[in-house]
Amino acid sequence: MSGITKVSRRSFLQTTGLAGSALILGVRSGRAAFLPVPGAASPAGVFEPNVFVGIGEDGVVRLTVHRQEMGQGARTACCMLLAEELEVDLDDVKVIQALADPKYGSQSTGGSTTVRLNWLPLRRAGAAAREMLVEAAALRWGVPAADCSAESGAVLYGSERLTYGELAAAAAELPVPDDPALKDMAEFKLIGTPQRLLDTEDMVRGEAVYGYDVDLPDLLIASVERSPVPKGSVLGYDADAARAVHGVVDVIALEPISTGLTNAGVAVLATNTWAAMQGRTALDIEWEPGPLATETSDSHRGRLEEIASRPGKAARIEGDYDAAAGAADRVIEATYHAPYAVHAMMEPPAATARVDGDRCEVWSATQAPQWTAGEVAGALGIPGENVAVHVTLLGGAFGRKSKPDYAVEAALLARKAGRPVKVLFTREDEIRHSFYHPESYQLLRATLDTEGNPTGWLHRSVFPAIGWTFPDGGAAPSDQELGLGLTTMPYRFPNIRIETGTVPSSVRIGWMRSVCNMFHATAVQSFMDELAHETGRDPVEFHMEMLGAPRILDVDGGDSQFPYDTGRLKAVGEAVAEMAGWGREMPDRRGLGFAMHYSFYSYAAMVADVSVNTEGELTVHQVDIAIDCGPVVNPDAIEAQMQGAVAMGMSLARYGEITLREGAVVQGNFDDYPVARMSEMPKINLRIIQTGTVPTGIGEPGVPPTMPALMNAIFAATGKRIRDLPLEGQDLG
Amino acid sequence: MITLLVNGKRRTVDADPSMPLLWALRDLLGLRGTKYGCGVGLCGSCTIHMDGVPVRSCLTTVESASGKAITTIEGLSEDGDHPVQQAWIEANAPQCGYCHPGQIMSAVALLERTPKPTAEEIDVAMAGNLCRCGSYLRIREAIYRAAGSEGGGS
Repeated sequence: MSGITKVSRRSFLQTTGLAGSALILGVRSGRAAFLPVPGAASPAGVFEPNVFVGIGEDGVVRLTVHRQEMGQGARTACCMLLAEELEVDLDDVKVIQALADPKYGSQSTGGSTTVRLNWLPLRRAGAAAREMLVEAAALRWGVPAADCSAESGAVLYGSERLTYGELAAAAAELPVPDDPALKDMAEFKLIGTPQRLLDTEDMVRGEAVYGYDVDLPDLLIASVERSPVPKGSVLGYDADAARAVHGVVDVIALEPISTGLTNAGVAVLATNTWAAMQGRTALDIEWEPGPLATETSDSHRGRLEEIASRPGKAARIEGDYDAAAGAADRVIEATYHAPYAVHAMMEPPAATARVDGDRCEVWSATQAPQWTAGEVAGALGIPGENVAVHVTLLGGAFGRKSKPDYAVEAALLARKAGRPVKVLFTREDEIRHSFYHPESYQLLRATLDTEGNPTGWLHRSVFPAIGWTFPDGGAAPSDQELGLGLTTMPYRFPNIRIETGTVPSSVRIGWMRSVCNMFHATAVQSFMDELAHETGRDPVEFHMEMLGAPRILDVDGGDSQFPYDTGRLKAVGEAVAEMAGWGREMPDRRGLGFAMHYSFYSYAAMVADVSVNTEGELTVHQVDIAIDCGPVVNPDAIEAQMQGAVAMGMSLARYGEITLREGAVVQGNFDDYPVARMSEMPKINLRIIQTGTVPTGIGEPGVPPTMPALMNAIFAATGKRIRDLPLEGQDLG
Repeated sequence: MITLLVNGKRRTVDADPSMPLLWALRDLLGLRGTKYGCGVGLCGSCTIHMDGVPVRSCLTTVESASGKAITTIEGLSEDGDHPVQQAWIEANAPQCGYCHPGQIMSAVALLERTPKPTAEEIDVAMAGNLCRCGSYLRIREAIYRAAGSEGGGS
């Protein structure tokens, strides 16, 4: 079965070495240039003032993108920042996807950081190159640089014009400016304009290369049967039966690695995916499930409820909540539960590795190329600099592809097999061998005085922490996790007590789009709605009153460059209420729900318009959104991200639930882990409010308010208060 | 050896007759535009046309595909200039893009049957194509554009 026919223009070529090669994922124009060719198509530009810009004498401008594209527009946004200051047209550049390398700074693409953290560095990189090109032209013409200008890849002086290609060699001789002048925002030509994602054309032609699509000469495909229960071990398996499958080449057992990223498994390696899958089925593995096999969803929930029933560790204290409770005329209490959830990105994890002696080359759909390089080096016992990590496009990721477990598996298998190996997760693998969004159980209490005024806020949040997954991570939630919507509660209660608990988990915990913000926003925004109704107030008015005068909330331990300004939250809340016509009469069994949330330094507010018929069927008619994420880089991407956030938030609210039986995940595919379909999509209206001078997150902030907006709207439509997710299986009628 | 007619060309593959067409296309013929998403016909990422009808290539064996005219995303047009592909680009429909070859193949089949689909007809025809990024509103808009209709999702 070696007759692999290749379409040459889309094939990988053999690289000759590890150093200096880059995977060109795509360019905006000219399909012939779309060649995922490591090494070959990346000649050193004569002018490379920094790691992001390269210009050759042929005039080709190459921009290197060090962040990963998973649909959120990172590649496009990075190029916009560079191109704006460099003064080149986006259609005229070649885009190179960087290999893992610390010279770029952090390449970890998560936490909605790409634009926020690269807003200045990438603009400076573009501006430095532009200044040098202008200086080179000015020297050639013998005129002051200040009298020259740059535009569309050329420097101009009166009627004189020199292209960047013509200037590249001369510019390379000049010193790189430390502090190049950046454009005023009013001068932007590209930033702030809607731009199509760079890879769109490749995607619609089926030519975009994802982790699943990597091909190399002599490649084997690996399908890995992993322990259904974490920390389980292999007792025995039928390697001969697997090898008997036509196309199977090898069967290799995998031991867990010491950093806790991988579990035990048995891999079947074959010349094609189907053979690998068939061989895997034939393995008939006998498992020792280990100590976690007694775990069930009930045991997990029981622990959470038990811990939430007693005082926890203080995470934020203001005033004296206990005194407020003692003096209260009324105490209102509610508990909220949300289950484990999984990412279900359309492309399951996939990575390819080739090992040659003490060197390894990896091609991975990863959010974290540098971590991938480190883990692969550790697992193979080779120096980190001997690992080259190429990044493909990611067919969705949502945090799952921050974990490099699948690249580690590919590297270990490639070394043992002596051939390049591509590890492909099946859908069942993706759902059953993830790093899960944690189950959560939260208790909230509010105290009211005799006038019905709120006097105290108690919030106890219990969920297994991400650190639990790692040997040295610790089991208590980190300050960072607590800052994701728990300690950042923005309302002016005179007495505040916010607590957390430490709870173990039998599954691995990871990041999932907006992370703890999801369940914290769900609880806080639902409870605020409950309080409004309990005190006979209009929910939006109640929110605004409890926010009070704008202030800087200094509790989240976040980046002090980006203070939490409650005035900006109020502004998006007021904007969305106005957009939605908040307060208008609604038909029977139809209602509006309001929610707002600050996350990743952005401010998002939503109003959901839903109806529930007498059979209990929910229809989401419309979602209005107002977001303030600072100055806009690509408004088209913001709109796409907000639409996507609603789809994901709605999917999770309606269906998203991972359950455990005998320590193993029960769900396995889209039949028992459904996601929203097109017919479920509401009309979405978006208003973008631009405040401040630095852009903040867009990939995640739309998700957290979606769930409570829907839940509050269901209450408005039906009088039923949802405190347990998902909605599926609950009687809404 | 099994002979397949793929994108107008006769191709021979050395495959187990029960191999899903998806893997024969991807691994044996190098046509990796057709995507795996679930393997059991639940997500639509692997949608191709067989004798003009949209089918899930993960559920179609090579044996049953033999002798049928198979069209994949690569064979939809010479240069990505099929009206539906063009509409997709104009609508900026993809986010991660992974499910979009399958989405496009379903949309093309819909528009060949129903040149001016209603919103409901679009929802029904596209119900089997999942997109976890949530690009649905723009997919719907792209279909309207390709149909030359006004309206759209968002």
